Amino acid sequence: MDYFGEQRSLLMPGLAQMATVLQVNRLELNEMIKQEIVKNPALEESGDETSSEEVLPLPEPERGQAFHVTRRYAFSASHRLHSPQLSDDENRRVYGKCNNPFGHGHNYVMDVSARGPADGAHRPCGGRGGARRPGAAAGDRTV
Amino acid sequence: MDVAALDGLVRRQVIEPFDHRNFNADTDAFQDLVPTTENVAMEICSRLKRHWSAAFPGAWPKLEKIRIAETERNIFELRADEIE
Repeated sequence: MDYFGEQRSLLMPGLAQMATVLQVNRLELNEMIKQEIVKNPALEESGDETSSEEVLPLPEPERGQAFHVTRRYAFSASHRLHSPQLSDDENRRVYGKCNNPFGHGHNYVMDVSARGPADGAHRPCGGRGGARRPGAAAGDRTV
Repeated sequence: MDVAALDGLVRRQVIEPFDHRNFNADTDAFQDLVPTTENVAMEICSRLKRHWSAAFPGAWPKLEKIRIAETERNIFELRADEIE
């Protein structure tokens, strides 16, 4: 798809490598480093106990600062609050008008929050390499 | 965060099963459970948690919480690590 082609061309090699390196665990990272050393004779290992930060000094904005990211969704649905364990009278008393036999609806607004390092990828706006919103205002940043 | 991956997960697990439906009649989860927004939040959060690793196979991001507003004044928030 065109979408993926465009995304890939915007990821610089260093950023793409960072995205890969951030996803692997410590064992896989060690394995990856060993393979790189074999493939590239210019590289050498400086010591046994090198942390991932020492192996790969990342430029400041790409270090993966932890973020809490929230995305909002909306959906509409109807319900009736009625418990089969209660009598009709008790249901009316507990749930009030929400117990009316025909039910009622809500326009729910749902925020989903996640946390993780900034990866700079796939942001609709704001992040590096993000797809541009259709019809974005003229003043918006052009990538 | 890969927003497209999150959108896909929410579409499959929340929007498609629940949007423009009747919780009591149309959904399996609420055959024996009163669909209060608290219970709806529990069901949605547990669905997202259950299918999270399929959408995000790496170590990050982690699902933190969901917050559902039934009306402007009734808002329910649930942390993912506090439910099954």
